[in-house]
Amino acid sequence: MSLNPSSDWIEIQPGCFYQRREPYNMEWGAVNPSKFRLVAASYGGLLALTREDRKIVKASGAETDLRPRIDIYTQAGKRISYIVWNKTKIAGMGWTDDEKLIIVEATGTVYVYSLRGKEELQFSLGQMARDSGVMEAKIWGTGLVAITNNYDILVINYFQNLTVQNGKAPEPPKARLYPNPSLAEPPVAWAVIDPQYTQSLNAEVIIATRTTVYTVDVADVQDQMTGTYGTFLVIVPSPNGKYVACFTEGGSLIIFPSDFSKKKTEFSTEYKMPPEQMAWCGGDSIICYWAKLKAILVIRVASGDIAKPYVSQYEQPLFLSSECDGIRIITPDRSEFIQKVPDSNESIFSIGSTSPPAMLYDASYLFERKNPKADEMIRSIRDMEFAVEECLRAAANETSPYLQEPLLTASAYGKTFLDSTFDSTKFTDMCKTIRILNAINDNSVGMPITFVQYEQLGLPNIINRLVERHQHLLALRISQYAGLKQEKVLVHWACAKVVGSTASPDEVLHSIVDKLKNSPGVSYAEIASIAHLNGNTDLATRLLDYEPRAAEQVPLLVSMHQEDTALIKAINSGDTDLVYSVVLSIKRKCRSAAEFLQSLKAKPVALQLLMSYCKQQGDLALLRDIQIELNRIPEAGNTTLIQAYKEPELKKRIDTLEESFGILARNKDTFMAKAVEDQIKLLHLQKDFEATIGGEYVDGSVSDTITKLILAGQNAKASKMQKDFKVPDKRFWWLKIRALAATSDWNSLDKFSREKKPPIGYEPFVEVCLEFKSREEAVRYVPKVASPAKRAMYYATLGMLEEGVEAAKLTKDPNIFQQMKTHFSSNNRAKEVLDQLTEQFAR
Amino acid sequence: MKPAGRGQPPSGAAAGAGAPNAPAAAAASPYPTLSGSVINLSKMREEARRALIELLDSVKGKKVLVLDPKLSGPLGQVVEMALLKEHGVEKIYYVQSGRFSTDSRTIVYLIRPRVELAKRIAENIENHKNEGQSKEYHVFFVPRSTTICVTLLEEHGVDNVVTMGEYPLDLIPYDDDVLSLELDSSYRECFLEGDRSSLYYVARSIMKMQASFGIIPKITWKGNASRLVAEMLGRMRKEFEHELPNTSPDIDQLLIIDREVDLITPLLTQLTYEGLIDEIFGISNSFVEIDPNIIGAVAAKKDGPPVDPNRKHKVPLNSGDRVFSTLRDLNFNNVGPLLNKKAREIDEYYKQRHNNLTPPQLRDYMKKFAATQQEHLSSTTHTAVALHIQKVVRDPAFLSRLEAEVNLIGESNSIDDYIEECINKQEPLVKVLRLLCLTSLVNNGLKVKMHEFYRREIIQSYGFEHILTLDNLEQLGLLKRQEGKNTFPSVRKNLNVYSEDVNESEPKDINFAYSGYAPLSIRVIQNSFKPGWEVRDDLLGPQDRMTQTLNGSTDKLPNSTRNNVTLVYFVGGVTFAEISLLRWLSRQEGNLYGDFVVATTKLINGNSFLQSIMENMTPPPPPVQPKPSGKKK
Repeated sequence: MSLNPSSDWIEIQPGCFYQRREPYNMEWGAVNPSKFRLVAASYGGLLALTREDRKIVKASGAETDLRPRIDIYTQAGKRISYIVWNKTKIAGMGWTDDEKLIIVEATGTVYVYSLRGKEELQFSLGQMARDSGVMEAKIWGTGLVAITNNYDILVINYFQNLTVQNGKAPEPPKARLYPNPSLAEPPVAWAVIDPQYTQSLNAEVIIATRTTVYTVDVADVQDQMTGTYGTFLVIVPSPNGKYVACFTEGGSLIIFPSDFSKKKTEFSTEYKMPPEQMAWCGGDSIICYWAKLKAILVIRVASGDIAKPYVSQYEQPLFLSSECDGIRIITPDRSEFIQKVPDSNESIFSIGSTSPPAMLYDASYLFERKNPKADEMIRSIRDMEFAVEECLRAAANETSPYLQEPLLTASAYGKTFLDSTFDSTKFTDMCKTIRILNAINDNSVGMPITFVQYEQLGLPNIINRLVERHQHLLALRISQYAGLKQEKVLVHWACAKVVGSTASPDEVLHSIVDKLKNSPGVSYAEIASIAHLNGNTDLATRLLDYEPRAAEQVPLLVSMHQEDTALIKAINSGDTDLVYSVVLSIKRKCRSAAEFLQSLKAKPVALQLLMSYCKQQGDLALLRDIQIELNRIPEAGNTTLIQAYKEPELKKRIDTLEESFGILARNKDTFMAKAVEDQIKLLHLQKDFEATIGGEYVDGSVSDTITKLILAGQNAKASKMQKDFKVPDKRFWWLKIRALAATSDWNSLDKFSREKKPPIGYEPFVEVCLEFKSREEAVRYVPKVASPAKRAMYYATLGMLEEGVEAAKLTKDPNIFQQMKTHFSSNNRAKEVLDQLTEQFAR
Repeated sequence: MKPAGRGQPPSGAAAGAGAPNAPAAAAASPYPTLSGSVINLSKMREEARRALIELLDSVKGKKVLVLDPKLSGPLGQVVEMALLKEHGVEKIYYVQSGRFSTDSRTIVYLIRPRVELAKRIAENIENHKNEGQSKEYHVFFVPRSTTICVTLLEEHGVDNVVTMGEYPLDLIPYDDDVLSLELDSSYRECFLEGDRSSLYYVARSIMKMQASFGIIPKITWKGNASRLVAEMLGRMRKEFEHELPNTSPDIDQLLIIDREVDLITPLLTQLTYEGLIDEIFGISNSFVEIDPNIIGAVAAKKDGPPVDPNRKHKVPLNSGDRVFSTLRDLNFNNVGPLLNKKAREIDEYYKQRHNNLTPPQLRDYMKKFAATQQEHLSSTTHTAVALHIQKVVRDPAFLSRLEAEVNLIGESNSIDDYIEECINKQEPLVKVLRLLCLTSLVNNGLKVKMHEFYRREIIQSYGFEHILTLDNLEQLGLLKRQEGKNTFPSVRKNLNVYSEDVNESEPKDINFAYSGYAPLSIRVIQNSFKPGWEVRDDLLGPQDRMTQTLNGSTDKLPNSTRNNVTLVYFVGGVTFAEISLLRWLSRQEGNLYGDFVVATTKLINGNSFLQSIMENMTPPPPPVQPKPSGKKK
């Protein structure tokens, strides 16, 4: 027959099998758990032990250090570290899911320790806790509840982040005050339901008094009216938060749903004394331990009425710790795990099972031995996919490779009978998972974890736990193997190296760089921040040099007060925003503008950005100060110009322009200064015109002003403007004839055309007449146009074919006739004539 | 902000996208399909759209969206109004200063990280606070938040009520082969103000493309700003190594060229069809708005709904329109004949229905019906547009301008008389500046006397408030005093920049887009493909080439069945004519260049390019122009 583990199963009830998982032998040299206050992290996590104040221990003589101590062990009893406790009474102690040890001191101070025994954070639960002191605190995976000596309930639901990140210490969590159930005396027993299992996602506190049970939520207190059952001496919520197990003064064990709506089941233990320890084994049975009995009681509560409990003898003292799918029992020399046999395994291995996975397992066994019956068996399996998957799961549930192997073989065998729709990665993924589980379950690692727990905790968390325990190599290999990012592991390793190594900074640096050089995603900035926090600024700076991401580098350099380096790195990165961030932080630090500028003087890129920043902010005064300080006179003059043109009032504008002139006059190129000077002169003149002539002159250009003057009939003033501002004749003529044409002052235009030979020729006269819609007037000037080609085109525009043709003939250019044609598009005769002429001249 | 924005959705593409407002516009798809792209650009657009939707969904419930006016067009390329509605956007506004009144409790701002806009947001919130209104504010910066803006919100004490985030929209696909960051003032910021933020954005956008399309094995660059981008790329490669894929590359070469290398081209008048549309009407976010009196007759003929006679027609310009895509890259003189041919084809097609068609013929006829109808509408629209352009380009004013440009570029003849006349006639300043800058660039500056003269003429004619514009142009070397040896003649000769011999209908060279001038930028690109290309500094700036090793195994060579793909990144802007010439190059027989995909900071023309440099000092007085009195003789 095939290999079968069912012979080791314990039938705690008819048809209900439990099993013990391969135990660890404890390396801690017969520590007696009953003499200690002991807390265990879930998911096969670490143990923390400290001597109970009320438990007396005989000094062995070998130990000289009698100060209270907290020792941290793995599940295999290997000591990792210890904390010397030189503070007052401990009100509560426990592990978070990421294996931080939380200790609540009676004074209301909370200490967060790493598993290496290093204090990482401390904070207070607040004034109330300080004033009255904490009576007792309970800690779970993500938070804590403390009850003060005044019976106030203080809750932290989620610690959020308790670790240093990017060189910044974490924000200490704040405790919330829950409503007070008005207790008159200390609770007889109390417990907490993990917030992830409550409806409000806030922890619920269950408090048993002599007469009843209260459920305290963030919003209110609910009296559960359990008086009829007598006083509850022990209360333990199930790992999934669904149920609460209560031990009454009458010796009964009652299971309620966690809202106490209706009693689920009750069982009389016949012991009046409450058990020293009571804990859930998974979600379906309770284990009670009485030291006097030297035995545990396994009471299965999952299905209906409780029959007989199963009793197991334990000669040695023990400690119970619940898991989601079982329970750990820690004795002075062993750590074992008891669980209900997982369904997949039970369906395969229970005697006489004919379930598909069992058939597959047997068929595979026969096939391996070349037994033809295998074929018959395979054919009888209806749901092969189910069978294959169950064998896989069962393999993962087993700890021993001797059992894993045939189960995997069976699964692989069954797989060949499935069509291509079966996702084969399920198989390969599970094989990987099993290898990982085997590696971390090993004694030397001491992380005994089942497949169910593995799935709940998740591989990234497991890797976190490994690196925290400094199992970097294993963590790295697992990451590699599972295809996860390795950067985090490497960075953690390097950080540990930075903190822990006694070697010289040079050696540390080299060993880190050497290891990480092939991993491009590694954050050197994070490592550097640890070095900086650790007081090793020199190493931090040198590590930062290896950080390729300027965006990571620069903020840290700023926080290390190395603004100069930060600025250079920021500038080199080309990321202007980084430069701005450094510049602004330098600005905040400097006491005066001069000091600020001095520190930026050698960095043109930064200065340029600062100036552009001033412009964007509209802070022109600062901009000008900077420009003057840097001796950038022309720019300062320009800035003053912009300032002037922001002045709505003319007087102020002129004043500011004067100021600008003062600055610009220092300049070698005199053009700007001269232009400003002229503008001041112009504005004064325009003001005068507005006063004496009327109308709007201010802010017009010189040309505008001349035009307006002509329009207003102020020809003398216009001519004077021409002289004063050295307006070229050509432009003056253009301005004048346009102004005259615009007002249809054709007589004056005619007179002006005769004053002297126009410097601009006569074309403009024709054009302005055309522009202002006087064909008659236009015709008057066409004959005076010098170029015959232009004359021809003007005549064409005016529809005067004959005159046009005459002019065009003078050019002897055939093209001109074609161009003229566009103006005679509806005149067929003209078109013919022009075509003929084209031909004639083309010859 | 214009008063129109208050309380009304902006008329930008984002808002208008859902309902194209003219039948002519409705004919073709308003957005490019991107299906003809050589690299998968629709992936980029999808990604941008997804990120925007995610961002909107991250804000629970109904909300109003308040936009940076400059983002409205680019966003319109990514997402339609209807989709915004589906994700809880009730209304869209532009950011306004002071008080912003809305009934909505939740306000989502989407802005470029500009101080001025952050200030307005702070004002809005302070106003609500003072009025006792409690609202939820979300500010998303595009493409990322900056210390300055965040600090500003902190200084106003509003950061505690604002949730800040980023919308990393950078390169937006405008067509199958055109991508733009749409950063208006990147040339100005970078070369005038020494603020290199836009170069950083360019580098980041290239990294993002590499993350999508694989590491680009070869990087060629030309120009000082391009050098900075290339250097940043080298550094970023180290920073983001782990985010780059190890797939075989979809893009074989990156060619970075900055506007400083060739300032001449954008100043000249584009003569391709699309270029002329841009010069005359102005293309904004791949749409052109056409006056109803130009195109109105077209719309009225069709049996569409009645159209507001004053409302401009929005015509989408992209390769999804088959008629437009055959015309856009041609010299304008070819457009008329082609449109006529198209009209005849369509006519032929419609005539078929009078024949007695056999059932298979009928099926064939019906299959083409929708497409032909669309082409019909499109060709009618473009005929109207082309007729208007023809009027403009035949005008003597336009011709004298072209003549002046050719004189300058071809022979370095003086065009001073022409420019002076333009000034005297008070022609638009930007036109005068285009010609002046050209003169300066071609002659390595203006003679001292002329330099002085023009500056005074401009200030006296257009007003003192333009004095800083002149100063800016001087600092940028666009308009300066002559000094040193003029190098342009030798550049002209070496690069064969000008030739009188232009074949506009069957071009033999790239000089058909600018009446005989072959753009320097394109010549530089052509040269980079020549075998003798070397690392050096020449008259147009430094150049270099680097190779990037690919991640993973080295045998992942580019897929040899496809053409080589070059991503040409124009830092500081690119004109439509330049893009057309690159398309022309890759269409040539025995194509040396492979396929081009063009990316840029901004699609520009001479006017928008110079306008981004001009400094408008307030108060800006309206230039006094005598207006025709309306009186008839």
